[in-house]
This record gives sequence, structure tokens and C-alpha cells, in this order.
Amino acid sequence: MGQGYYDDARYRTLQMLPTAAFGLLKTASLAGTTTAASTLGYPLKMIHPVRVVSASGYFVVGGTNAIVSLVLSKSAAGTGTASTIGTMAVGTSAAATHKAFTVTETSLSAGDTLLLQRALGTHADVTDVMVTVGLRETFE
Amino acid sequence: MLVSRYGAFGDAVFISPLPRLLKEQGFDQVDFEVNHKTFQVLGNNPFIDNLIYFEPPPGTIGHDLVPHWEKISKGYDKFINLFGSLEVGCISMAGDDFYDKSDEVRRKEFGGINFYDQTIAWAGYPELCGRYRPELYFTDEEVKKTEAWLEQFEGKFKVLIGVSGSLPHKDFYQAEEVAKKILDKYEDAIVILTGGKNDENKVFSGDRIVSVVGEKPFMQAALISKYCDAVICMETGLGVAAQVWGTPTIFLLTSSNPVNVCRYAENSLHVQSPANCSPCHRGPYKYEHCEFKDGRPVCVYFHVDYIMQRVEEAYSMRSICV
Repeated sequence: MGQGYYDDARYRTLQMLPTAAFGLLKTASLAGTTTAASTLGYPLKMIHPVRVVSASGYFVVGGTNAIVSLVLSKSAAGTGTASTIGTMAVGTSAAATHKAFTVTETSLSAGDTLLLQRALGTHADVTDVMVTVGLRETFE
Repeated sequence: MLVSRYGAFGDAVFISPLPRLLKEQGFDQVDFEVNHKTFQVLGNNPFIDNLIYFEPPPGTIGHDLVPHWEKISKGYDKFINLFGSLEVGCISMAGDDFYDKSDEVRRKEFGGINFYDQTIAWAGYPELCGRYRPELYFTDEEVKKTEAWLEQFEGKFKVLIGVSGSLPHKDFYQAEEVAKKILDKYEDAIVILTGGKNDENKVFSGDRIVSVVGEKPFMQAALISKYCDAVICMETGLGVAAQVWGTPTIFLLTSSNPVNVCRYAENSLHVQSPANCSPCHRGPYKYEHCEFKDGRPVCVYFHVDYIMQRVEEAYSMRSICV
């Protein structure tokens, strides 16, 4: 077995990778009660134009959250307001499984920001999830 | 049917025949789970029903992902795991049985394997090797945008040069010398430079030199290569993509040989490195076996006059077509 696979730092890929995951290996804990929409992980500012085509959550720890949804949002540069582009109801999820967001394909310009938010809800179980976003690089 | 592959751009092109092949084998649903780069290359493929994005954490090796593969493959009739399909079967990697052996031993082991054949055989269809070609798809908008950008070079002898690669033996150190010779020889030539944002220090300027280094994504460079009269690059994904179109491609080979990467390419104008160690068939991440000259592996130094002969061949092909 080889020791890995070729990586390629050319083109934009090196710059794009951090935008594809909200903290790879850094999980967003869903435990607790949410009284206002809150941003999880960190906002991802685009340095190149992209189109968001998919998103999924990987449940590091399983659990049940009947109420809570995760929301993927776009914040256009300079506006400070977020618009929803994808959602995923957590529901019952086993550990080490994926669940896809329902995503409306959306273009982001350089400077726009992607946000991962937790919708309002009360939930007791601990559910850790790592969210990754499938991006298509826009031609310029 | 689920196929999983995490690879670089060239690796992604090498698996691009599979979606059509699998559909024609009768699989109603063909899903691919891929990393970011492969996500770009297969993004518009009409034979893929679901393209699932997954980026393995940096440093991940195969056994780390076994639980992941067990989970994602549940519910599918068949799971084709292409992890390491080229790295194991076509290239000698540090720690394997061949890495420390002689060049001759590795040439005998790996020299006769084509990367497309390897992929199709790994997928379970060795009898179909050679019957499917790589495929790249683009949206109408992507094509229009690229064609509009290229209009400024209408009628020119367009030469696309990849200035860089993912590893030191894939950087085209002689790019400037070759570009200037082309421009001196062909009055109607235009040289387009492509590469990544980290390669801006490799960009050179001059009359009739246009750089899109750090500006255009890989797939746009791949599409641009379709409209060019010649592509010159080291052993990188750009060359693999250019061969998809039959564009005359001066593929500067170092670790691989023409059988590995050019067997099915039309108008291949490949050049093997004159270094005695080439092809080594290694994935030389640490270069511990390599001879160096001026801080670079010796395999990166080509005979520029021979490259120029290949450029003349490409120019002649263009003359026939015009």
C-alpha cells in the first residue's frame, strides 16, 4: 500500500480546500439548547468564485435530535445578512454515518461567506458532526 | 454501484472512462464518492447519478478509511474502491517491494502498464481495456466563457504551457527558455502560461506571453487545452487532460513512460527525459534516490532543441488543419 496519494498544490486547489470543510476534524457539538440561530465552526470567506452544489454531515458521534436542523447559508460580501442555501434535519443518526443536506445550488462570488448555523431548538443528546461542502470552481 | 476515488487531477481524468462503462454494463445507478479535485473533473459527467464529495483528512492512509468505506458502501450492489489503484499498481512508492530496487527492475514491473488499463482492470473489467476513452464535460456557460476569452487569440499558433506541478520533478524549469524560442521562431505564436497561485514566481513576461497562472481553475485550463495548437507540460494532470481532446501534447515524461500515460493519446508528442534514471516509475516524495543538479532532480532537464522539434511537428499539424 502506498503511503498516501498525490496532492496537487497548483491552480486554486490549495486555496479552495479550507473552504470545503468547516474545520476538518473539528466537530460542531449540537448538545444544548439553542435560543437563537448560532453559527457553528467558523465562517468561510471565498477567495475565488464558486458554486455550492452539495453538502453533507459526517456524524462522529451519533444521537437523536428530532428538532434541530443544520443550516448552510450564504452571506453576500458587505451585507451582513445570511440567506439559506441548504438544510439538514439531524434526526436520528448513527455514529460514523453521512447525511446529505438538501441544497439549492448557489453561486458565491469572491468575498462572499459561507456559514454553518444551528437552527432554533432544544436538544439533549450529544451529536458531533463534521460538515463538508461540495464546491464547483467557477470559470473566470 | 458506488465508486470511490480520492486523487489528483490527472488521476481523476484516468478514471473518467468508468461512468459510461458502468452504465453500459447495466448499472441503473452509478454513484461516485470523490475528493475535491475529482469533484471538479467529474462534475458534469452525465453518466454519474450522484457525485458525493468527501475529502479524506490530510495524511490519511488506506486502513484509516476502512470503517468509512464499510459505511458508505452499504446498500449498494457493488462497490469499486479505487484508492491507490495507480499508486499501488503502476508506481513504486516508498516502502513497497520495488522502491529500492534498480531502475531496470521497476521498468520491467511497471513499464508495460497503461494507467487507463490499470483503472479499468482494477474496477473489474480487464476485458474492456482499450475500449473506453476519457471524457470531460462542461456546462454551456463554461464553454461560452472560455471560447469568449480565447477569441482574442483567433488565428494564432496557440501554445499552452504548464509551468508547474505538484512535486519538484513536475515543475517545468525550462518553460521560459522554450517559450522564448517558440516566440522567436513563429511570428504568429502566442504562449499561454497556466499554473497555480503559488506558482506566480515562475511566471515570466514578454510580448505575446499571456499568463493565467493563479487565475483560472484547473478545469478551465483543461478546456483551454482543447482549443490550443500545442500543450507543453511536465507529467501533470494538464497533459493528461490535453490528451483527451487529441491536442498535440508535448508531454515531458520523467517518472513514467509513454506506455503508462500516452498509449491511447492521439497526436502525442511526448518526450522522455534524457536522464539515465528516467523512467524510474517511482512516486518520489522524498527524492532519496535521485541525482540532483542545481538543486533539482536531473530528470527535469530536457534537450530544448528536441522539444522544439516536437513544437515544429505540432505547427505542421496545425498547417494541415488550417
